[in-house]
Amino acid sequence: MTNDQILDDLNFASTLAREGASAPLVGGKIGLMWGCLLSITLTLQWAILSQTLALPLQSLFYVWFAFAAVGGIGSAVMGPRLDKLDGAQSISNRVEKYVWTTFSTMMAILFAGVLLDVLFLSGDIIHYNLLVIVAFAGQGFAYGVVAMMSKARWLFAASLGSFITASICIPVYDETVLFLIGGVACVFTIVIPSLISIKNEQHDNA
Amino acid sequence: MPKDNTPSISLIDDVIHGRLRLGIMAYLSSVSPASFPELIRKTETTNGNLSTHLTKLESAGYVRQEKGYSGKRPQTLVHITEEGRTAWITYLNTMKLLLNA
Repeated sequence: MTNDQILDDLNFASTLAREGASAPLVGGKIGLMWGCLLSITLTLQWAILSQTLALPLQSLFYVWFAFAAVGGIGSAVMGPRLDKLDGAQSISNRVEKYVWTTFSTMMAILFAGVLLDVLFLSGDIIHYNLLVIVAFAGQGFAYGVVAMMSKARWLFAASLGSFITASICIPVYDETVLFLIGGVACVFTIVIPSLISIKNEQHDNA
Repeated sequence: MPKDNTPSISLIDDVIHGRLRLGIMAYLSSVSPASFPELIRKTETTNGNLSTHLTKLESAGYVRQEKGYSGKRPQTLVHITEEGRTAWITYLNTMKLLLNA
């Protein structure tokens, strides 16, 4: 084997290693689905609470049930498909998956805690609103970690936007407008970043 | 007699040092597990060829093939093992020494 052959083989290996390391993030479609769902749900919550939409308060249960059902089914359908894409098991994509799974687990446990508090310990329903702040802060953290790992710099903007939204929500945490702010912020902090992610994925795979 | 400090070519890991196996290990070092079709697309080789080289790497304990199903379709996922990752790093260090000698 000549030196040139060795160098050619090493170049081949290096190209493949780089392709793997720079595999695009594949979670954009799931992010887009959750972003749209959350934006609609939070806006509906605001509309029902403020009676802009003349529906009984009990309808909020159906709104959130639909959110969880559609999101759950959507993730179950899309998840395995995304796992089959090239580079889906790259380090960045695994970090993205783990970080959002941890985030979802955190939100589910906090939601259960608030629910149990309200049902059995006469807790104040307003504590539920705090979840919106925690969600945006957690989302900012998740985006930040994925941005660091994937070197997708634009994700830092999504991370910063999420932190700013969380801080904007603090003074209005006990007001109905909190949900409108959350609904609008979802467009900028989830929907748009997810669209960028999808565009980058399509560009890299073209 | 002066001592020859040149690294010996015998240090190169023969299991890894083959164009296709090198490519497989390089890709798996950043994407693991990778599916069989994904490895075919990335290395631009044939089913049979990839299968042969994966078997060689698996025999050395460098990769692990996981046969299963994705829905109703059979699916093979290829994982790099801890031993494989160590061998890969050692291989790269050896090549660096040889090429710098």
